[in-house]
Amino acid sequence: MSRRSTKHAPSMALRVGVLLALLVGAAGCVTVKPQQRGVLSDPIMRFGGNGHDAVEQAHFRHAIDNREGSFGGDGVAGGGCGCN
Amino acid sequence: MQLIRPRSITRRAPSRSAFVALAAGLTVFAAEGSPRGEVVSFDSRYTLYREGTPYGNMLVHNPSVLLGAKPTESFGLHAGWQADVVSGASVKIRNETRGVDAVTTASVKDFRQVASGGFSLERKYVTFEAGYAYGWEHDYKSHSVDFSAKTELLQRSMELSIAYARNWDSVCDRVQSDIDPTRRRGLEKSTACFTADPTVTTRPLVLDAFQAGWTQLWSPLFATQLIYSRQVLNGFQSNPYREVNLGVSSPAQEYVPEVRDRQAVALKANLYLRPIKTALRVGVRAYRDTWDIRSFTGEVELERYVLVDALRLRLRGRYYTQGSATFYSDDYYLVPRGKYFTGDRELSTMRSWMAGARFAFGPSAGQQRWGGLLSKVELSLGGDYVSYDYSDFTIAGTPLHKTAIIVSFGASLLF
Repeated sequence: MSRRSTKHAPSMALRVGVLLALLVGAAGCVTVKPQQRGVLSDPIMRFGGNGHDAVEQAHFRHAIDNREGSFGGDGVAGGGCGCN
Repeated sequence: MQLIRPRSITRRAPSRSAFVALAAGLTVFAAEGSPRGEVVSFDSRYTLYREGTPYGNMLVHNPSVLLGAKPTESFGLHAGWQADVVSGASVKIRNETRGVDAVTTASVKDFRQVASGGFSLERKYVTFEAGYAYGWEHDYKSHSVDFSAKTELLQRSMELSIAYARNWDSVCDRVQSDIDPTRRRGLEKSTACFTADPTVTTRPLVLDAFQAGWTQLWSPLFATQLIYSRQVLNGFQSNPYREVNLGVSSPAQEYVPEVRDRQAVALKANLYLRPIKTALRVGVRAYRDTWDIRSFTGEVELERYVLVDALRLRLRGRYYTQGSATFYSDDYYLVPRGKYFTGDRELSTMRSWMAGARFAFGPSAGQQRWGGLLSKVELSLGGDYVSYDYSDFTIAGTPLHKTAIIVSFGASLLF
């Protein structure tokens, strides 16, 4: 790798920040009107589902996360446990 | 490694004036919402996790109930309880040394319970939630608080959310007679835990978790969600029972770093496929922590209404892969990894795949409530099959392969 490219290579954090800024900027140009949200408000299109689905998802995460070395992406609440 | 008995967490009772101020604030906030008929929800669920042999089996029954009430449109309360009834066999001694395998397992029976409660406050574009949970089992106790807030922008096409949770956990451990980690012994049993028995002690573990989310509607049929999660664990994180044979002395109690900083980024996308009237949900997650575990998760779900309006069918698949912790070794005698050692297969190189299906039936009563009371019922039944492969967690040189099934049944009532 050349010295020049090393010196001026933007950091990963900067690149992610610029990408996020562009995405948020693009999102500002988009408005889905309330009368257009019939499909999006259906339980099958909601992130995390409705109350019933959210409880099921929490049970599933509880069963799976305890068998893997990672976490994240689905909330922070909950009591800790030994789970060994 | 902390060997002295931890300082007890000082619990100061909040002043009476603080309670009065909080109650007054909640009352004012709630009163500003327009009152309406009381809405009460009741969710109950039971999940069974069954992991088969080889190398120990595990059966976990996980029932839960959740009761919610919204006295006004802007104020809600909830309380819940859940349990894990665990039985089976778990690793007692990880003994893979010099090619001779002698994994020792011990029977495990535990009963873990969590009681939780919280409230939510909603304004036109803002929702605030807070909760508390207390979990307890024979050898582990946990207090946790969580807070979250979200707001809707751009005519509700964008939602930004943040959440924070903190746990104060206590882990039962054996009082160690030797400060050298390679000479520590594992906890034999949990019957003496959280008593005055001088042979056991309590070790603290504090967890801080933060999450930020951005949900965006891009079109009437397409939405995405980007989530960043971070969790910092500080304290005793070993399994107090598990021992590892280092090949130089008696098996020693598992010894892992006290601090673990975990970060994950998840991106989800929901697309409605109008020609086949099906929702396609795709999610990916990248994870990394300071123990150098890196993982990737990919999930795909298809869901649609079948036969009648209230009946939904969901099919899903999931793939997960992770690298091992920097201090993990399958054989610490031949391949030592510094001062730490573990027999936890969840810290080894592993991958898993899962496939499952679920039916959900949720008819609504409409304007005329059933019995003048019940407005909606939801029932669901689903099952998943999981296959695990541990490439560097071997039994006599053979990588471990395990399978599991997850069956879940739930019923919800909305009054």
